[in-house]
Amino acid sequence: MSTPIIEAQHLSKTFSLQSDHIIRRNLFAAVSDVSFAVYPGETFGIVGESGCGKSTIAKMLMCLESPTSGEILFNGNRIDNLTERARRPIRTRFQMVFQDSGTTLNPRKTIGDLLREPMLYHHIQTAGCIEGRIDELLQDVGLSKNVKNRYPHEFSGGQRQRICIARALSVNPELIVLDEPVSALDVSVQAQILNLLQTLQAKNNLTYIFISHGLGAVRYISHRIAVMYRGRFVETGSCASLFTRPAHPYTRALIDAAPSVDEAALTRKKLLIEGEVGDEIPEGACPLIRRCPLSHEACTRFLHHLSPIPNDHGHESACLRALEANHG
Amino acid sequence: MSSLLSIRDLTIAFGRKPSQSIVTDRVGFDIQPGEILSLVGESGCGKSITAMSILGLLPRQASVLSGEILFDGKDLLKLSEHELDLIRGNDISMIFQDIMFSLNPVFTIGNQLCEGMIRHLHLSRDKAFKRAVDLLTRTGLPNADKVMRKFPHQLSGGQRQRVMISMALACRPRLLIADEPTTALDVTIQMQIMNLLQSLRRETGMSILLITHDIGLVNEFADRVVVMYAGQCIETGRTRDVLARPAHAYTNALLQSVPDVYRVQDHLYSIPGAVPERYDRLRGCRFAPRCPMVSNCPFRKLPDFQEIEPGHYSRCANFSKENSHVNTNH
Repeated sequence: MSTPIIEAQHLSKTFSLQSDHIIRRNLFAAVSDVSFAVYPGETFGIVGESGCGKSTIAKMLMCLESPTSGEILFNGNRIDNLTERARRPIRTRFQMVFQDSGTTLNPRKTIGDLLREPMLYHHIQTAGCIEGRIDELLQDVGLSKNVKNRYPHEFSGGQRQRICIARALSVNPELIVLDEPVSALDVSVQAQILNLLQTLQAKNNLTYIFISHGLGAVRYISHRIAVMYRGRFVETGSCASLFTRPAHPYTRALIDAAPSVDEAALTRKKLLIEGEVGDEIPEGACPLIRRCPLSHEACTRFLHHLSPIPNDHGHESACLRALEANHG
Repeated sequence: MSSLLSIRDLTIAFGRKPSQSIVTDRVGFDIQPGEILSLVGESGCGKSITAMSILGLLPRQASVLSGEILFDGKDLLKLSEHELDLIRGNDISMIFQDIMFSLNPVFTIGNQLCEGMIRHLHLSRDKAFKRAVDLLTRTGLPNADKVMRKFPHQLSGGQRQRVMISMALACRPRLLIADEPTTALDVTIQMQIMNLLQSLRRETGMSILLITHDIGLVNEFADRVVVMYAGQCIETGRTRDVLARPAHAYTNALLQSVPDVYRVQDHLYSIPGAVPERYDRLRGCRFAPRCPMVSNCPFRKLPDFQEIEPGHYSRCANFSKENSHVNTNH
């Protein structure tokens, strides 16, 4: 197998929550011991509910946030411990697209400026061919070249997201981390952006890390998927095996809770979980213990390791009762 | 059966002439007692403004140009502010999407829950308190009497929405308007809230007007659906019929552009272009510029509603009876 383009090893991030009344510092583990590898040309989906740590992972991969412990390897070389100056030459090789295209584009710069800036900063193009490259980028994301002199507020959400994608592409990256790129868009526009991402991936041989809470979009675009809950990966596997044979009650509950336009969804037996993410859990227990209909005695002293599902290549689950999750 | 609410030819405009823009164009639908009717469409299609107009909550720059909103035979548009106050939160109540802004941050939950009951049901403070605890428990909040003493910021999004629902139900409304009630919530919490609304509907027999952009929610929870596009109703019928046999090019295209959890899709259909920002100057069918079937379209003027099957109406020339040979798949 080829070397992974990006690899996370035992990645953890802990934030401290300062409280006015208590001197003792409260620690909040946003990401705990997450390991994964993404290979060239694939789309790796990370799905989970708000606050599960998926955006923190994205920020750590982009070196916008440094991990509390663990390592990040890009093409086999460690990048999380480099200085910003040492990291600059490889910065162009991984880029990010954010959810809120309204606030990630500088309102005082024209679209042309926004696309020109990263290329000049990283010395990607000489001044002579930069304009041609901008036209090409705009064409690639489905915008006309006349938009160069216009400002971000003149565009709709979908068009702004296209501009963000063009900006990420401007430095010829190998990897793009997409953090909720379609969540704020209308259904008809969402489909356009998802299809655009697929076309660009084939054309430029890109690798994506696609982060979303929308299961439908993740299923459509990803090759492999990881499901996160309270800072941990609870299940990983290929798109097909994860959706047809979910091996963690949380994955099953997420799939069953997602509203579907399919008529079969109405008659399907659903696994519902109760309570909320923030509910207190005993130390060392499975994070889902309070909400899981399958939980039992052993789950209270359960360590969260992903273990392989027998006869299902590449499919791993952190549930003791993994094989029952799909029948509950 | 007589309708609980019926909206007829409702036209709402923003601004004043000559720069006035029409945001809903002769919108009309009925809600029967005990049913869940869903108003579905993309952002800017006029679904929220329609809902706001029912309770007289239109923003200042908006005005109703024509139409009527009959509740129990009474035209709500003709009522005075005082008369509307007797209906708001009493016979008709509403829950909103932005839960944080719908609760007052400086009063406790208990205080806000009791207010409506004291005012509309003339209960004493003690009785109102007891009933509020009761309501909170029914919406699935554990430790209801503790929650009564909390402030909104101390609750999670899902808990706040449960408080909002309790508040909306406090005076036993006959119609609940739910404007994107779960859009800000996670899917597992969304499922809990939607199941709660459905079981409360069954218990109390109230009707629900569910406003959403999520066709999946419509599929799973609504009895009937009204599809809106660019300020107009374009298709209506029983949810089963409309989703299984969409009879408008827009509904059809929209259904095919949803990435669905239960489906393996190699390619998503995507509707070209975007929802027009100003649509009141568009002549004829407003979907025509984006319509995949426009070449089959015999006339580019907006057709009237046609009954496709019992109770299922659409205004798309491609699906009218004279034109039934047209292939429904693009």
